[in-house]
Amino acid sequence: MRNALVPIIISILQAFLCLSCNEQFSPKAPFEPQPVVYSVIYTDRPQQFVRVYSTYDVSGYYPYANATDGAIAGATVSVTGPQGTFLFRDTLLQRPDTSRYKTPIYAYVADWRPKPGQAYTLTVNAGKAGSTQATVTTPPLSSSQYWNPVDPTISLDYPDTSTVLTTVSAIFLSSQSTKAISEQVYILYTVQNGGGREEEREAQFLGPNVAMGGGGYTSVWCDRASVSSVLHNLSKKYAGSKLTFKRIVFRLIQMEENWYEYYSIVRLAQDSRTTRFDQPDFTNLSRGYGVFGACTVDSLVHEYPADFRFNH
Amino acid sequence: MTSSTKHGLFALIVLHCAFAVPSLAQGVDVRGVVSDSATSQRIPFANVLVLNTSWGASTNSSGFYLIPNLPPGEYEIAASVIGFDRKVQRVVVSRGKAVDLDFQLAARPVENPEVLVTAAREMEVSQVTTSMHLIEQKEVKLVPATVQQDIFQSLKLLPGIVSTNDVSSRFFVRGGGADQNLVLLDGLKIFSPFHTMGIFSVFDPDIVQNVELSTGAFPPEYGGRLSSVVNITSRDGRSDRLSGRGSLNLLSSKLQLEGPAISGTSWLVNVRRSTFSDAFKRLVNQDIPVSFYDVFSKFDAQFPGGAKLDFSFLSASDKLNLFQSIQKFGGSQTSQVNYLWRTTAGSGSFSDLIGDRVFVQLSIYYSGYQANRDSSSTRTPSSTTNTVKEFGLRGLGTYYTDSRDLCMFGFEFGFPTINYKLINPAGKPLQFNDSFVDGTAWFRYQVHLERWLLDVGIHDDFGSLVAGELGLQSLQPRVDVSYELFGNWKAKGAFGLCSQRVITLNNEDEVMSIFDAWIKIPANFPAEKATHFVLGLNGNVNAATSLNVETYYKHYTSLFVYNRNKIFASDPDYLTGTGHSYGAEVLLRTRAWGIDLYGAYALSWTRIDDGSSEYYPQYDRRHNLNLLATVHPINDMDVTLRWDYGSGLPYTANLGYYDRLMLGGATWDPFQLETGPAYLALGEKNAWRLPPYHRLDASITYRLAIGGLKGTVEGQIINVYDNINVFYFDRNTGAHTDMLRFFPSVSVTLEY
Repeated sequence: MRNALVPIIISILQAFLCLSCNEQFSPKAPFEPQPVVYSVIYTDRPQQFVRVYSTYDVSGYYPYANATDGAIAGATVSVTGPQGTFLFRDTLLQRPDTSRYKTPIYAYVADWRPKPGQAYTLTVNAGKAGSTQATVTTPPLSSSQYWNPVDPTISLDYPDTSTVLTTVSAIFLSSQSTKAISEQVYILYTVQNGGGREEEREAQFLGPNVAMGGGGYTSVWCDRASVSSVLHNLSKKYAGSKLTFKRIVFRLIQMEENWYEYYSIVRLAQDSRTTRFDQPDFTNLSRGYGVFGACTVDSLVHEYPADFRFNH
Repeated sequence: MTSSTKHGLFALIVLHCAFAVPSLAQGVDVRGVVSDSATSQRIPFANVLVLNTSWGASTNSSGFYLIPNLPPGEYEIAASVIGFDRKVQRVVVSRGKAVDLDFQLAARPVENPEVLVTAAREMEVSQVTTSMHLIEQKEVKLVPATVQQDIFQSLKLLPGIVSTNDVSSRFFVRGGGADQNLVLLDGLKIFSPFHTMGIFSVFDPDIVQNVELSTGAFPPEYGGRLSSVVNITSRDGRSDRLSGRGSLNLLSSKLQLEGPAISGTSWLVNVRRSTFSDAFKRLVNQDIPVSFYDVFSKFDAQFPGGAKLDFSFLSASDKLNLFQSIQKFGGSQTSQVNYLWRTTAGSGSFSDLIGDRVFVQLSIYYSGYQANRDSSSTRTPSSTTNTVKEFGLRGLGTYYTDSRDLCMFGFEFGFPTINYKLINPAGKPLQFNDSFVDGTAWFRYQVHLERWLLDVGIHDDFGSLVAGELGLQSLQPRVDVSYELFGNWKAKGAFGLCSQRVITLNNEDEVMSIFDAWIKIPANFPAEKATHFVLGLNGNVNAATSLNVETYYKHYTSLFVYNRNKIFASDPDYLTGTGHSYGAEVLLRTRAWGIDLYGAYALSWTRIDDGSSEYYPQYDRRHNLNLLATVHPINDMDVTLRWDYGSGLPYTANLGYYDRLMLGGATWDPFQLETGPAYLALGEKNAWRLPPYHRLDASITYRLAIGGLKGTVEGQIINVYDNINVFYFDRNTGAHTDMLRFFPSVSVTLEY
């Protein structure tokens, strides 16, 4: 009996050897390109942009081995809203950071300004990467905007006569649908460059910090000392050039939920209290990755007079 | 079950005990201890029967038995247990005085089939065994020593217990998580019972008396875990003479010494350390950056009348050094990550018969666990430390009623302190400290009613009740029932509620977790809870074949799960989820054509619901199969083959990469000019499966005796057909470590 077992055991061992295919395990699923779309529409900008990409794979596990920007050319991109459907055309933008990709940024652009409080649907057909779609609603404009103090010239012209106020602020009542806000204060001025042409520039005091909020009063403020310091320094810096201060702008940017959720999740690694090491993700696109978000911009502006004392 | 029903059940059992007391004076108790005639070591689970009557009892874990209320007369009483010669003693029982009758049994060689088939049957004489397995040291030693004899290698042969890729206590029972297993050594909680790579547990088989494994609806004395209990009882040292045992092989070396101290006392010291890191590098050029050691020592003193005093101490440590990388633009940043796990535990216990009928055991204990991940990187994987220290006091009591019924009760006060220090993904150091009272009390009653054997009880986790974390659900009923059908076939069923407040955390995105941290579930979350239902059938198909079939359903009414919809930092990391697991198990032992065959198969499903979606947890294993065959070509020689198969565990796959814009300057600099960092796109959570784990081990063992020396020579081949089983995989870098590849080994053990 035991002799008869020998061939059986050998057969079993041979079967086991066949089991040992020993292909090295890889956690990679078979690669299928997915669309990656980024677009944030702004109510204060005359042009809107969309970037359309494909996911990519590399032979190993070092994604930066991919040296080619995966932008998809020839995609069909459109946004449909109450104003109609806007088709985007492709364009090349100069890439500020060329450390990884050397080529210009391939993007899609449309000349169109969204309106506050309206729903817009982005549709992208990205060829092999497939189609995707998302809808956002721009936050309504703030329902109330006013200066505090009422006469901004008291504190915004320098030197002024106020001996009481140390700050100046603009008050906005943001909409209920707003999920996050960002505040900015900047002075817009023109200065003559070396070629004799006038250039428009901004000097920023505040921002652009993003905070969760909406549906309440927001004070966008700066201190007078900063205003005076900027005016003084710019005047001194461009002493030999023509300098014209145009206006000081107090701006409130209201972001809708998709924008803010994406913005938050890409910063979740900065969560100082988390004990998790996983990598959550967010997208409001029907397929793929990225975000379609919207921002509504409110501003209160104080125009400097043509004979403003720092102009020269 | 409502709280009033629970209270009613409890009251009924207490009344039953109370009514049993007045009948004490009607007969005479026969009691004593059963021990090894050579070493004086106590023998648990021995059967003591009054011949030609229906009276009998089993020894408890201290080797003590009590046959109550025996009418006056002359009797022959026999003690028997597998591995020892049966012994019969004649005794005259006179009215009014209890009879002390101790048995010293002579050890004899044990053959495999006796263990495989008969042992299971014998232990069922006195116990309901739904989802309960008992393995004695002799069985551990007879189970194939394909790598090296080990408790958990033996347990893995049982259906429903799965242990692959094992680090940091990773084994899975009936769809339960790795942290849902309670591992006890002499009542001590062991938080990390495995050495790395999963070849060895921290319990050398030579220190083990027996192992009880409960895979569901466990008895009321156990709590604090949802899935299983592995209760290991260490053996005493020899009290007759000094004895030593040494073992050396390419995997580990071991030295064990034991002997008497003063009269009635004994001691045992066992030291083991790894040797395989160097051996693997030299022999098969496989880098296994692992090393470990463990030390166990025990002192015991036995007193006349059955009293016993024990002191046990365990220390174990593991080191693992890996290089892990973070992918950044410009190249990956590689850092050496050193892992260290350390277990230190000690206990002192005293047991004795109090009065005529109550056997008690009191223990004080300390259990410590430390895990360090020391990384030169400040980012993932960052340096992390996790410590658990627990002091405690435990009391167990058994009241022997007039009939064969047993009334058992106990309490435990544990005072764990858990510390978890980490640097989180934001680079911020965090520290969590929890000190709390882990208080439990339990009551259990075993009653025989004709063909029925009823084992009911209640476990009260009053620590969580006081803390307001469980409310009335801290009262957890446990019911275990069996019914004798025909022949030796039994139908059985069990039900139990259990809870767990201490769990492990890990990164659920990792393909395989290598570092788990113990924490106490935060007070604002409910404890994890599960309800077990088990139905089964077991019996002997013929004299050489036993079969056990069980099905189970486990409903997790509360689980501490990832908040997968976390978006904002203010969102909680975790939520309360639910889940369920169910499956079936078959255990077959037989002897055919001169071969001892053993087969265990488990089929299971587990799903977790986090409130927004359902997914398979990382420990969901669909199929698990263990096959074992042993032949004895000549006397004192065993040839064993063992094949272990487990279908793949779930993981989340890499789908590719995309450049993730940060919208960092969206309010100032236009987003359309950003170049985002590369980001790994993951697929649906745990929708993919790792390759199946399978491995064939073979061994030849020859037992020899030369003069006063006894020994064994073993030749072993691990992973005969050299299958690659993944041990660790870093999805971000591709760095990986495999489980043991083809590896032949020889070991020699000598004993005097």
